[in-house]
Amino acid sequence: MQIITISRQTASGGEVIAEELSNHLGLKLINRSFVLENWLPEVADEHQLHMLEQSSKFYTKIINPKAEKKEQISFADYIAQRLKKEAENKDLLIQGLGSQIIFKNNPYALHFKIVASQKYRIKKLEEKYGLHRKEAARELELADRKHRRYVWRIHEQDWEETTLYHLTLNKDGLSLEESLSVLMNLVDLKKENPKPLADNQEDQTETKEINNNSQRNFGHESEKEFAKILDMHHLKWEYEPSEFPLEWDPDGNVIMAFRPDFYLTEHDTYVELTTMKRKYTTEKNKKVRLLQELYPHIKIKIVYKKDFEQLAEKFELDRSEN
Amino acid sequence: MESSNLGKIVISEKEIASRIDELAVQLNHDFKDKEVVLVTILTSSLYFMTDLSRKLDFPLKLDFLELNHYADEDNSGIIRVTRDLEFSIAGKDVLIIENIIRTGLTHSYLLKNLGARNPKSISICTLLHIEDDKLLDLPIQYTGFEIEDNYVIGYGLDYQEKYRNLPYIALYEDNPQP
Repeated sequence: MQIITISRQTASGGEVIAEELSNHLGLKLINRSFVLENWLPEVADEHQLHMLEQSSKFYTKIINPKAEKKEQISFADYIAQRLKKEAENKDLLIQGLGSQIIFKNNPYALHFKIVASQKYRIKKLEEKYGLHRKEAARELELADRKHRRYVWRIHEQDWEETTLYHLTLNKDGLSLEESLSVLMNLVDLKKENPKPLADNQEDQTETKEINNNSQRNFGHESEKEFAKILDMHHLKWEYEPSEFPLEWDPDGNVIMAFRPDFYLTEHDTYVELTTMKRKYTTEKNKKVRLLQELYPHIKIKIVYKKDFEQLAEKFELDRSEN
Repeated sequence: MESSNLGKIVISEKEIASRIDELAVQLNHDFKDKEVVLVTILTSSLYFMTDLSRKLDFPLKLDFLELNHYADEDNSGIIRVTRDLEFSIAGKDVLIIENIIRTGLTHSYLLKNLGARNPKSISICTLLHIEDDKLLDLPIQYTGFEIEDNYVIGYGLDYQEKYRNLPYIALYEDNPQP
């Protein structure tokens, strides 16, 4: 399920972005007003609701003090539980509520923060509420403090910590349309590559893989050079990842197999370099022909000595741009 | 014009003009009423772009992209954009104007780079296309001429920045006969 969380500075335009983004992407919008109107009345009386509207501290109060200690939950715990349950079967856009921390480890969650300069925000408050500059500045100071305190009290995290977010958008100089376009692009990109924000494991693997590639022991110098050319063009590759059986004896044992040198993952294409003597080239050509007969769905390209020399020459001498 | 390495003419000025007319008819049909960004790959495609774009009658914006292999500290020679597009291509139909496609390596990167900007569509129009089996099979919608895998110069294509302004396409002779 898709989850987008939006944290925003007061008067940064984040609320409008959240609303528009939820409309554009068909996500259910959940914000503090929604929670106060729809969820909290189920567990809070009128006085408690009033306090929840006013004070961030009140969210740490226990809802069920008469229950056994281990079953006691706070209003904040209750909201987190409801959010997680709702996210099980609905695509959500959650504004605030510490949701960037609640869904920090969720691979399908994207966390955005919308900010703007003090000047921009004061101007917005002046326009919207007719406040004087000083009053607007004071209002912003209080609101920022309230945001920070809520996240700190409930989750013991600094709301300003930039690594809590995939992207922080400065609304100064960005129109609503441009802001939405940036956010929607990232949403699109992450669809095929979901990954929790808090999990750096994969990054380490990626770095390791790159290091390994450059230090890999290739069977032939030309393979190392070819790998370099692929890297130059940002092409993802694997070295000799698969072996294809080509001939079997009557007992079904493989007596001839072929392992192409490279696999270009994004192009689903195997590449075999034949930079050696003609005798070996003929042997390789035979294997490639057999492979194409037995596995017609496999795409394989042969790079002959002449082609390889042209490539090597081109990138060493840079004699042409094409 | 220094002509010592200038080989046989493979495509004449007249043939280029006539083929561009044909390509323009096809493009005018396919892109009718579309909002197109014509992305020209600098520098070799400039002549092709100027001659072709003047024959196109759909609304278009001209933009330019330059790619180069960086020789950085570790000498990795990684290809990078050295001059980026001026316009946003998000939601637009993009027509890449290229002079020649050889291995497909550069164009694979180009398609990945432009594709990440969420255009509505990307098509490639190349004047020259090497007919040999290329390393990467890329979708190329419009081709001017299929040519053999030889080093060619002229009509934007250079050898060490020379010969670009030849009005025709000729072979480059590595070891010209005296």
